[in-house]
Amino acid sequence: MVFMNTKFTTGIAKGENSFEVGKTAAKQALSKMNEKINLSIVFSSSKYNYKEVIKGVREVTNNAPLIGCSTSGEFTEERTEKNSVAVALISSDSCKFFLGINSGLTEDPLGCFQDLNKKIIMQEDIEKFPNKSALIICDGLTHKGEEIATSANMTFDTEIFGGMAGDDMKVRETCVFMNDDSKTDAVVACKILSKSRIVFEVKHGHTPISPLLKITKASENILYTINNEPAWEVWKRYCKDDVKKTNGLDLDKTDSLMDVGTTLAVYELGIQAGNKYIIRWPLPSFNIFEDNKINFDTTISEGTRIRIMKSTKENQIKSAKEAVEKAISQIGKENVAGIIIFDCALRSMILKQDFLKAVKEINDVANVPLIGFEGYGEISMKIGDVSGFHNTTTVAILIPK
Amino acid sequence: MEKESVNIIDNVLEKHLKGDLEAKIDIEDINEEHKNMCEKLNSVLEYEIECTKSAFEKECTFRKIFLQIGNLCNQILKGNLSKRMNILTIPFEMKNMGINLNTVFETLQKDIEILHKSESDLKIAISVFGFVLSKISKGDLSVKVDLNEISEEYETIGEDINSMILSIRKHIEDLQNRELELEKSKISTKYFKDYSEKILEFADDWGIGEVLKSVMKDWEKEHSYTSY
Repeated sequence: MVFMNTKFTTGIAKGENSFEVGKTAAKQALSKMNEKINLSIVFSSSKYNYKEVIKGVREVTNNAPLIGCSTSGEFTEERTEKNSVAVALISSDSCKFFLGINSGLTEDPLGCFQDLNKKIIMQEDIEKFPNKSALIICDGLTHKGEEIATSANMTFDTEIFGGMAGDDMKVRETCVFMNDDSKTDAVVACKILSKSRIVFEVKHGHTPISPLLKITKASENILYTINNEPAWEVWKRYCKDDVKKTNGLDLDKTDSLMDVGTTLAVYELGIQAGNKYIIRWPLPSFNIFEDNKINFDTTISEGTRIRIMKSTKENQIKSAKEAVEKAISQIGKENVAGIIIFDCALRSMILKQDFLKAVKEINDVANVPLIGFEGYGEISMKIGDVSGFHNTTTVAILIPK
Repeated sequence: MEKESVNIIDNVLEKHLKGDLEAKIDIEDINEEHKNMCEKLNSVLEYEIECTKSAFEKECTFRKIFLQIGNLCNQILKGNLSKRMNILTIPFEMKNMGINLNTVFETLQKDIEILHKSESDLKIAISVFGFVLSKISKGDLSVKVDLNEISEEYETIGEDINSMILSIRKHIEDLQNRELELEKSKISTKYFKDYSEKILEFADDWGIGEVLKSVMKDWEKEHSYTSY
């Protein structure tokens, strides 16, 4: 039996006054519903004063529970923006939301989640709300993406989905929000008890361009050698011809860090994990032309079998659409109240102006209210999954009616 | 082998090497006599994919273990020794390591608890002994160490202090008694001296004073008696 008791509306605004922008976005969302709000989701550009933004939103929502984060681009079903605030309001009697926030994520991810779990008091009602899941949003600059996803999975013992905050590609500081609080090096979690299962799907649009390679030297999030050769040298070998053909750039001659960064955003690392690839976002070290090191936003392990991947604009657009299609096929469009999209900031770097097209394609498939943001990593971990952190990927979460 | 079959196999192997994880030989397209060989080839391809899956799963399992170890170390640094590895999340071949690690943490916790208790017992004992000794130094010998207040290992010292108090008290009492006796004896001696002088006066009156004095001197010499 499907319960049609959830309403999901969105709003998006931009301007100079943080409080007013938050208020305007929330007002837009509120104008589409009359019900009591059970949860508000706020994605705010790093341009704004976060405390003022959430204050503005909470004034409109009568202090309804709130979660959110800083972002690198925001979108709703209406439009895609930079330097804006996107707000989604959820009113539901078929979903219950329980929130918590905790800091200290970098030092001890597992301990951070365990403490957070103790903070979230959840009144379970298995008869009426048999489905459990958790939406988590984390600081985007911990360089411990996989550890965070694994810690969340180990602690919550449920399906988890979400992503990492962004900061408009400044890579300086990211924040997560809960109610009136905003914290860095922190995680905010929303445990959800629902009558229907929260369906989510993850998809990336990368294909391999190298043979199977082996990481031979790595430490924490820094990759030194592949097949006992300097990492960047190996990377160049497999992508330089394609880069030259695509945009005329000679990787052997360039000394621009920006050129390398842009290249690595397109030619990412794929960990071969059985019959799928898990994508990792490579970043050049500041001295890449001398030390050949490549950094990642999560730990990289020696011995891992990898391939260098490539993503075309077409594949990026297609993959996001496919993630939503696959999710919708499981419950039917008519049962979807709204969609939350966690998208990678790199996707918009790859897609540039076509990012609007990617969001439009999602919108065309779903044709329901949606909210999303571009961040520094995505999380999707279903029961039985051993890994949950992704890059340059779209995670689509369907909130059922 | 027919060229068509060779091409199919070559194409699939090429795709597989390039990372197409779905690449598989469609047995239906292969002629009968090579079907068996192609099934084996498919198994080899599947095996390689399984190997990468298994390796990745192992990596994820290790991550779980390292996360727990990291968490345990962090808690120890914060002074919390009550945490343990979740043995259920550790693969069979590493369970012993987890159990041993838990034993190490357990022993460490117990040792530190013992150290903390010893420290606390010592503090209490020093405080109790200090109070009693300070009273004694001020001349108050009515105090004693309450043995219920201190731990067993310091009871002997407590008992010794109590014995010492009793002993000092007894010595003082003895001294006081001797002093009293001496006072008494002083009084008796003075009375005896006064009385002797009276007897000598009477003896002089009777004309035997010199004789009596001589007898008394002899007696004094014999008994080393000091005259007053």
